[in-house]
Amino acid sequence: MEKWFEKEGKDQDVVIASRIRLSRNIAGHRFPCTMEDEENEQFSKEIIERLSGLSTITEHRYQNCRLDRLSLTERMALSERAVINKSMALKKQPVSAVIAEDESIGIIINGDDHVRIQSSIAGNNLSGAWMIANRIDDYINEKYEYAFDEQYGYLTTFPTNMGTGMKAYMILHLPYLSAQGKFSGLIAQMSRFGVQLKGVVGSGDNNHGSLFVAYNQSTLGQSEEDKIEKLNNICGQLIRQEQTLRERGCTQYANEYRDQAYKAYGLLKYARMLSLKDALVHLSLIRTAAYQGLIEIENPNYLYDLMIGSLPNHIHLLLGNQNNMNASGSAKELKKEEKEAENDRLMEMRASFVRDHLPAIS
Amino acid sequence: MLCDKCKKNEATITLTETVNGEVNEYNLCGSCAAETQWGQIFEPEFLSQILTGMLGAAAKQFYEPKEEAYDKIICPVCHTGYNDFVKNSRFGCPECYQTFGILMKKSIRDLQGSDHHVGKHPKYQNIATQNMTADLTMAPAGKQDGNEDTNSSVLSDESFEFAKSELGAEAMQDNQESAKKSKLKTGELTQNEIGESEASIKELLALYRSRLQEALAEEDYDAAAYYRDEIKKLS
Repeated sequence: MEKWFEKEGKDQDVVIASRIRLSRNIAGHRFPCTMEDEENEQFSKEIIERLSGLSTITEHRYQNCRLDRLSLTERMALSERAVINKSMALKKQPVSAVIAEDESIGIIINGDDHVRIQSSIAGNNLSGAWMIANRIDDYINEKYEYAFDEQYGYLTTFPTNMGTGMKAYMILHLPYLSAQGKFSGLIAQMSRFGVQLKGVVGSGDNNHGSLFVAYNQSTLGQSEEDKIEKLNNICGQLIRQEQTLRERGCTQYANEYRDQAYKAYGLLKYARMLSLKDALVHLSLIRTAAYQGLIEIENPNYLYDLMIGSLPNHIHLLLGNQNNMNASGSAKELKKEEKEAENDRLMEMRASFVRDHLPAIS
Repeated sequence: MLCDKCKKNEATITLTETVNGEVNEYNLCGSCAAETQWGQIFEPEFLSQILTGMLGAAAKQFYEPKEEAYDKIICPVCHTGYNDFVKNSRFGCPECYQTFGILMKKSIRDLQGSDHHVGKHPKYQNIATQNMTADLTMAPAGKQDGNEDTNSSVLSDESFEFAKSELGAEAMQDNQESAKKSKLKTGELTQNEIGESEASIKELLALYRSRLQEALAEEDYDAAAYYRDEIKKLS
């Protein structure tokens, strides 16, 4: 099944995806963190049963799954794909999820909150993602009365979500802008306007591949539409600046950038061992060049898929490792030799994965 | 720079060791650093204590008067105590908003930049329970299946009085705040502003501090270490 991020949307060269997340709780019930396991399990079952008509309103097919019954590696892989968040991947209590076949919609039940609705859409289209999440929200509200307060809005487990319970995210590919010296100052300025920007893969210089996520920090005191408009406004400027920089660079140094992209392609096509950094940096180079028309690639958006697929837990799954982590989600302690051998296996598997899936040059 | 130990990962942590006056410096990646004898400082337990400490400190700052009285406040529905609430920074049930909300008023505004919801209201709500009233003297809305004795709230009369007087003072502040805010709102982010002017170190520090908190909350210790180092560099 084609995943949602394999489709094309507006400003696809810079904006990988737009995403809306809504946190909701049902009136008259304790929040999941204070529920007994038995109560939790019963309540999850009831919610899933009552939401069985979901496919009639979004035209997706859904799958139910018990997250706490998956291996930690599988859950961490889901969090690498941002279907669930990390705290839910690590949760030991029962957590259920209803996930659309293309993963564009995910509803987590009894995670941090009773219901967490997430809707993702390719390209620059926050309003589209909001429309879908909003519709699902109403559908659930038809079945259940929400915990809502005139002053504090939707009541959520964490005070950081109260109010609209909405976080809007835009996933951005900013290879040129993030290489500018002023980038960290720009991030600080955005935060003054309540918009946070951080690396998808790591912080600072460790964010290989230049993928970033921008999102609203606060959830109280501004309507959903206003928040989305503000994020659109600020991200819009980032997008234009990135596009301008790319345009300028690729006109002035077209030959150099084309050469760089083809070399990157050659490296990925033939490498036998790939570190995460190598994979991400080169995929990012090719993705940028492809959208600037310097290298002809079928479906360049698919390169994002490869970037996500190169992340450690995805590779562990390909290797059939289900137990590479301890309960806190960090790598298990291994002896030095074991660790090196494991690292080599990972790099080999990553190289073979990228080789097999790299889209053809047309 | 590659890690001195495994020579594979990017070094993110610089370890300076002084033995008998001799200074050695090592550049290590997160996973190698965790293996060293100093690695324990990256252990989750240690960091979560710092986080709790920060929240506790924040709480003290806000609630200094009659602090002991707050220790005894317990949500009548889910039995989350005030100390648990501060420690985990999370509410245990909808009723907790009534129990702790009034004490949290200032920190909520610090956190959210506002203290009143604007935006979507649930479409399909039962009218009877829609206004979970802010009137403290009223018993909590009895929709928790009636299995909890609503009179068991541990809020003493004393703290009621305190809460009420705080409410009055804050309401006045609110008006001034919202007037300020509407002015701010008109200052849109311009191309020039975002591209040209340099953010001050103070701003960066504030940003990194909030990032550090966030990383700790998400238990992302690599990021936490990174922001901690950045803060050190700047301050």
